[in-house]
Amino acid sequence: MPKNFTSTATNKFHGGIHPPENKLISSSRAISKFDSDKYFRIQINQSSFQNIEQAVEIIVIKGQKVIQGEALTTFQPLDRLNVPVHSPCDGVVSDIELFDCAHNSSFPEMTIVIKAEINVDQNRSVTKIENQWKAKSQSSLINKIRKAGIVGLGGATFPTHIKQSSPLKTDISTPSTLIINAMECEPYITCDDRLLRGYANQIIQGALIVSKIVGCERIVFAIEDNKPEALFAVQESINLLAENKIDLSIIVAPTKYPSGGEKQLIQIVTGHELAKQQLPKDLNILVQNVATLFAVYQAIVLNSNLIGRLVTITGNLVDAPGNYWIPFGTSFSHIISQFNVPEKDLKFIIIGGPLMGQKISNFDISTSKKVNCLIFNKRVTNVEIKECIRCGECEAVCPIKLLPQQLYWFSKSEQWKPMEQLDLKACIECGACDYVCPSHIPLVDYFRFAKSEIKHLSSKEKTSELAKQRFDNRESRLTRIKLERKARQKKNALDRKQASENKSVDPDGKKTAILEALNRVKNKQNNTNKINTGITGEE
Amino acid sequence: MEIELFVAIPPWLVEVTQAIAVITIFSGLCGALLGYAAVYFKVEGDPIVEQINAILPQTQCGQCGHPGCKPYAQAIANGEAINRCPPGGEAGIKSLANLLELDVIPLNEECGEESLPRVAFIIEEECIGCTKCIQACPVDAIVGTAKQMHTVIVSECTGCDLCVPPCPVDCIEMPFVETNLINWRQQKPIEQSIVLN
Amino acid sequence: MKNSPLINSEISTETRSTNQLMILVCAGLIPGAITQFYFFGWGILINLILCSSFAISAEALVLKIRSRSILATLKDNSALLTGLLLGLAIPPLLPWWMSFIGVYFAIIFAKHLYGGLGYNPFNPAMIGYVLLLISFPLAMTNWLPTQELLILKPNLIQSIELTFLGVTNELNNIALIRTMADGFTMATPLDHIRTSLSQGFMLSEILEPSEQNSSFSINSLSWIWVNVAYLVGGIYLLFLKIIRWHIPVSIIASMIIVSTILSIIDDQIYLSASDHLFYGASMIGVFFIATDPVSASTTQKGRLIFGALIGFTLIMIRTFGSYPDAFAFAVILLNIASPTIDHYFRPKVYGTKTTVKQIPEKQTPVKQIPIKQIQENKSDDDFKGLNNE
Ligand code: SF4
Ligand code: SF4
Ligand code: SF4
Ligand code: SF4
Repeated sequence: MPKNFTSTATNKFHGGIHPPENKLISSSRAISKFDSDKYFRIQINQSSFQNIEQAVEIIVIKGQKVIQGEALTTFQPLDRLNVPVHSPCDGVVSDIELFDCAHNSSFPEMTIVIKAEINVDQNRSVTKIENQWKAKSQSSLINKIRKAGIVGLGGATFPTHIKQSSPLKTDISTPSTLIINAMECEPYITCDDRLLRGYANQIIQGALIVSKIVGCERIVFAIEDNKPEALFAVQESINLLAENKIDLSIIVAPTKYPSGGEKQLIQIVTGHELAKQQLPKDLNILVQNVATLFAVYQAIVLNSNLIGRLVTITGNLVDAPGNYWIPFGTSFSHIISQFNVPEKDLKFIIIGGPLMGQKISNFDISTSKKVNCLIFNKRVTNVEIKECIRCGECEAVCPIKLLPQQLYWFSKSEQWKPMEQLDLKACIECGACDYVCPSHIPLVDYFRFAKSEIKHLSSKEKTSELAKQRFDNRESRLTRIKLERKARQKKNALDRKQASENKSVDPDGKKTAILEALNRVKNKQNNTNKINTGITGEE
Repeated sequence: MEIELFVAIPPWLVEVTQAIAVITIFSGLCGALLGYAAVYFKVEGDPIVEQINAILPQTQCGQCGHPGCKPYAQAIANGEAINRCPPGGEAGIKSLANLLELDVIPLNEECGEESLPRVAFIIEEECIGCTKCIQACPVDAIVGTAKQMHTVIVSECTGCDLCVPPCPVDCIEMPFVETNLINWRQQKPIEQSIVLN
Repeated sequence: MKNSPLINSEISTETRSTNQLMILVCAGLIPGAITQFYFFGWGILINLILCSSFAISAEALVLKIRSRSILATLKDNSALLTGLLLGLAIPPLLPWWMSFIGVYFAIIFAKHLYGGLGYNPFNPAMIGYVLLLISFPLAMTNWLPTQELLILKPNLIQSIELTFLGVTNELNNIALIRTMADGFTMATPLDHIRTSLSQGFMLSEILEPSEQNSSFSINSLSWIWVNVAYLVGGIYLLFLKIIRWHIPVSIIASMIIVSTILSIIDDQIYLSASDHLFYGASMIGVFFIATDPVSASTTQKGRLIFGALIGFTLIMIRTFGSYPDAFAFAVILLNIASPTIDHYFRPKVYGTKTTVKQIPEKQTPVKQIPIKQIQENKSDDDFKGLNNE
């Protein structure tokens, strides 16, 4: 292991902001114990493909006993996207129902309610498989990761097995790289920081597992300079590593939001921008969050499924802000009572960070894989929304170098074409523009609105194009049938005439019989042709 | 001789002739240039009917009084009013007006009202398999054969309503298309500055 | 309500709001205003008070007519800023009704007819100024000489009387004051230089301190001080990041370049860069007028072009046009052009860079992904757009 494997980032991305970090509120307390609730409400689809219809199959029934870590849903092997969810406790399935799941649309989603009971056999032996993973095949490791229900735990909940299922190529001159994302650039959130301080060894183990899966040449650990303790812990654990084939280095980047965004992180580490159609893997890069790597470690080495995660509980209404292991499915109201949050001051909870997160005012909703942070803040006085003064601040901070201000105008007047020309699609909804806007315009909301309208229009166009084709096909089929029928009638009439004429010339009917036979054969051929064309015409 | 003849022509006539000649040559040149440009820069566009048809919603419902969207597109190209398509609604009229450089006019109420999208649903227990709806459907969105239960291919149904009247047992319903997690649309943010006193 | 939680978390109060921005710009005017007051007397103060109260009343009136919330909108201080800028731009002791017309025109026609703050394509204060300049050229070029040169200095009461009535008991009218100034008739230094040049004087004769033009050098010195004061205010704005550096820097740079080229051609006819920068309305224009975000270009590259063109136009009009100072014209002309500038100087969106930077360690360019490969990856298209994690 080379001595100075830590270096400072030399590349940077355009723009970015420095919001007040507010991280000390929760990072100063070590990970502490959290008293679980009796009831857990597990949302059956917790990956980012919530809005794509997928066959998630529930494999438990009401009243069934389940043990901790038991899978509640399964996936079709053919469908690549889904990951299962697991029971967070020993208990009984008490309900399977639709419930609000913090989707922006507030449409309910299917959930499974589990009541915790301790009467199930407790003597399960955990089979640690420790270092056996080195001998396992890549596909079996990926399968294991998928079965364990692992999705990206940085907040985006993208199914991890898909990211890992394309091995990084080494033939292209860029070194294949696994980037460990420990940036955690959003204010308030400290769970990755705390996780690193406590479990750096395990995370590095997880990274080694992933690097084996995708077969990469080097691992780059990227962290912001506002987490010195975490950085130290990682350095220690890398030093502890025995002689290793893989090139493991640390890059320390200046604190700047949104350095944890995948595209920005790649830019910081490699200096490359992903072209429009490119995915990280096209540059031979895989980015994984530290919490995800920890989950991979748990799944592969400890053989345990993903049933909970470290969550930052913070905000000025919480009596003991810090990071806690909270099982998925714990309701917010339970957390509220655990942390003595005064209900009368609490109008809403923020899930995730203040910039990319979500505001929730229904406290019966439960945590899921995307909840990495819960902020309980007193409502500050409402800021007023003014007109855009075209100050250009938003453009200066946009990491994608978009023109948020012009996009805003077009979105407001619902002109979608120019918005597409301005590359609305590239917007990562990071909220940096929102943050700096002196007029406090909800820019990201406008962009989301425009994106959803554009999507709607294009789907409408598609269906109308389909309808047009089907209509045209039908029309042409109908006219063809009509023409054919006419032709047949004409021909039949002609045949009849001929037959009657022939009869007179061919008294014993031999000739007619031959002719008829010939005609039959011909007709048959014609008909089969027609049927063929009929089918192709319809398609 | 010649000079005499020249003198005989009054000077104003010379001036006028010169002017006319200059203008003629100049305009001739311009014309040639324009003509050349027209050929050289010719934009191969869709014929206007195709462009109109592309805007029409392709519901093929016939509410415009034509047997489908394409015939109506043809009729618009021949000068019919652009406000006869209820499924296209206001947005459709707007984009037609934009394309044809006409004024935006409100929807002709005789043709019907703009409504939310619908999709046909055949109550399968009641279906007697008469195939009448299949014949009525302009986009072949119903499958089934004689004496067999019929059903609607939801993704292909345009919600045109044409299959409802022919059904002898009234087993076809036209429910609204449900909003769900997939076709859900984001709300437009409220402009707070517009709040009145 | 905003969907994103930002607006309700504490951190949103950390950034400056539009209201604060505007009031801070107003504050940036203070050094310049004080210096102007010192050199040109009570008239400046009266102008400021008159114009800002006219502006606020005009804004309130229009908001009332448009039935918008008056208090909430007035709080954005943009009307106040317009009033102050116009008040500083017009000559002291201008009759009150002229200020009235200028301000009301600026607020009603140049701002609210276009939809109010954020929608106005032109800088309202400059529109008001240009209107006055075109309608009342004589009154508008009647800048008083600096106090030092006045034999009769109007005091506060007299100034008010002059502004509102045009005459006072003791001083008669404003024209009289001007002619009674010590042998000095012309208004601003730029004006004076221009007239003298047209009379066939050489620049060296005009600018050289001598017996004849001692009053000119006193007067021009006061203008230099005023410009320095605005420069100080402008640097304060830059320092607080209320305005960005692009526009001021590019205007100043292009003014220096253009005027230097001209003075190299003939330094007896064309003013040098330092004269251009410190006479007339240069500094207030550079830092306070051209940087008005609403009517300026918004992209960073666009702003550089915008500023450079303002500098160029300004020198051109000052040198070859028929107005001695032309900041208002230059700004308005470029306001017209700014949408076009914005259109052509967009930043390159992330991912459109054609050349990929090389990785330092290996010094080998990234292989372009062949199209075939992209097509193969089509099935993964659904996954892009995922940004976090
Ligand atoms: S939200 Fe979009 S437009 Fe705004 S700064 Fe982020 S990427 Fe740029
Ligand atoms: S930051 Fe806000 S006010 Fe400024 S240009 Fe952008 S949208 Fe407009
Ligand atoms: S009314 Fe119906 S048939 Fe006519 S154009 Fe509109 S959708 Fe097509
Ligand atoms: S199924 Fe009925 S409603 Fe749907 S397209 Fe066919 S005829 Fe129209």
